[in-house]
Amino acid sequence: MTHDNEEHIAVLKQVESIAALAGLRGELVAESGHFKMGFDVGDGRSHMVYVRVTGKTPDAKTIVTLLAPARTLKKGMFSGLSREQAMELLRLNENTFFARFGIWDGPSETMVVASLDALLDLLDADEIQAYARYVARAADAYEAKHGGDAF
Amino acid sequence: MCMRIADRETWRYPGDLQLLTTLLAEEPIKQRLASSAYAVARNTKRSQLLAGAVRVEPDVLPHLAVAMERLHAEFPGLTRVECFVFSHHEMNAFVCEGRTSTIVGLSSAAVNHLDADELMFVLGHEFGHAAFGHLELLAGHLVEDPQLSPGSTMRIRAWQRASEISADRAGLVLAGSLSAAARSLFKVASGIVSQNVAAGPERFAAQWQQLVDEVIKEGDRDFHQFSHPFPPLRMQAMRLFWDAHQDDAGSQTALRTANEAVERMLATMDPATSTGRLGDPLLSSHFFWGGLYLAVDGETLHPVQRDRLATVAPDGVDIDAAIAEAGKNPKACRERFVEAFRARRRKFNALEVHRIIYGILDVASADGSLQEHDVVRLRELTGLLGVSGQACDLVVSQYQKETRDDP
Repeated sequence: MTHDNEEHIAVLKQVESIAALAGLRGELVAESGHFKMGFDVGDGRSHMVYVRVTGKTPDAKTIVTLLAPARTLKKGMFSGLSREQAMELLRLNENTFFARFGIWDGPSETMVVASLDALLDLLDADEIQAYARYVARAADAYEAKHGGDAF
Repeated sequence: MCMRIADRETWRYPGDLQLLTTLLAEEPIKQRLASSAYAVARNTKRSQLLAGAVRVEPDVLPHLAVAMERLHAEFPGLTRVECFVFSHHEMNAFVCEGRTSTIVGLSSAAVNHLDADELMFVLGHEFGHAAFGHLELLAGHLVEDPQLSPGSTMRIRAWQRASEISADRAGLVLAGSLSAAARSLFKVASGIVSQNVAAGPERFAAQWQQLVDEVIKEGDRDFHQFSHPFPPLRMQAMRLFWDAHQDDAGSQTALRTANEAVERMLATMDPATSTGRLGDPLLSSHFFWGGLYLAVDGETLHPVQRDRLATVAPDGVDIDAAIAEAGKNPKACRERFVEAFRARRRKFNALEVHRIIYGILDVASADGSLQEHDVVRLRELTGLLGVSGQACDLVVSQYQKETRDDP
């Protein structure tokens, strides 16, 4: 295991610790490099939130990102994310608290995700709980609007 | 086993060698050290000094040349060492590896204001760096490298601070007196050049406790960028080393105890050490009083629990007296725990709270068991930190799982 991997796992264990202080159970998946938690978002729906280590500030503070996948779109000539759908995400970004929408481009599909960054050192128990819920609700509302319940 | 201060192997602080070995084995560091930029930095230093400084020749600065002679004799392994004096108003010195020689640079202020013994401390310190192989790493260049990860940079800085302890020990032994080392360090750190400086080693070293109290109250963890330990820390580390050798029963045990104390002191400047079990010096009081509160609940303290408490005992606390008092009045431990919590000026972050809970559990379960009444008391303490009973139970189950997996 490289130093970077070891550092990532150590950070995820710290995330797990903070989540525990909030009474949140989750699972650290070392192979995929994330910590995941499930949330009940109401109306019989639930949503997964993942925490990943995403970088360091110039003064070496660790940044983690809480993210929730919201939708997957197949890529192709007449598929993928349309202009209207992209505009919708920009409008949502303006109207959503504590979450931003973005896309992850894979080779054959595009994934719409809701996410939020936090400094690990400053993240407290109440915050991780609130942030994770905001991200889960934002992603789930988008997913529900587009008729899905995969995440 | 008896040991003498002249035994070179005792000079080197073990943490220095351990960290240096680890860093030199790291692939990104190996790659950078092999790059041409570092070779250029090494090759041009001498020409820069020849252009802007003077080389010490016996007839130019006889007293310095005499000191250099002695140092050459003390360190026969360093075959070619050149000393340069450069013009600067601050008392300063450095050592670096040139293309064909080891170069020691000394500021004019150091030459003008340090007496012979003080100068020997400074030069011995620089020779120590060279003799211990500290020049292999080119730390000053590496920490400026934007490609290197912040984690690596922090480890390099931690090593630099450890290496200063070894170099100080070399300087101290060669200066031959703790007083000379104290005066020298005091003058260099303060810039005071008066010949009347009366910086006694005891009083200078005592500033360390005041400093560490302040660091703990502030909860300050931003010292990891420092290349040198705090001056009072260096003084206290030298005093511990010196005392370990003055003891009639001078033994490896005394030196080991001194080295362990230095390790704890350096940990206050290195956030990486705080993540280790019971390794956070800023939370020792919480581990101690919280752990004792749980451990004394209706039972005799197990020797293993006492030993573990000893590793986190705050300075000035008599462990056995504290245990005896806790037996009679456990609430006093709870009060001391609360006091330590309230003394902090900066809010505890979640990771610190989690670390406090784990630390308390480490002490309480040192005997291999965690009873229901321990958990009840833990809930009481964590409630004071704003942690719900449910969250406390989850942390306890996390702790038990981890200790089962990795005892």
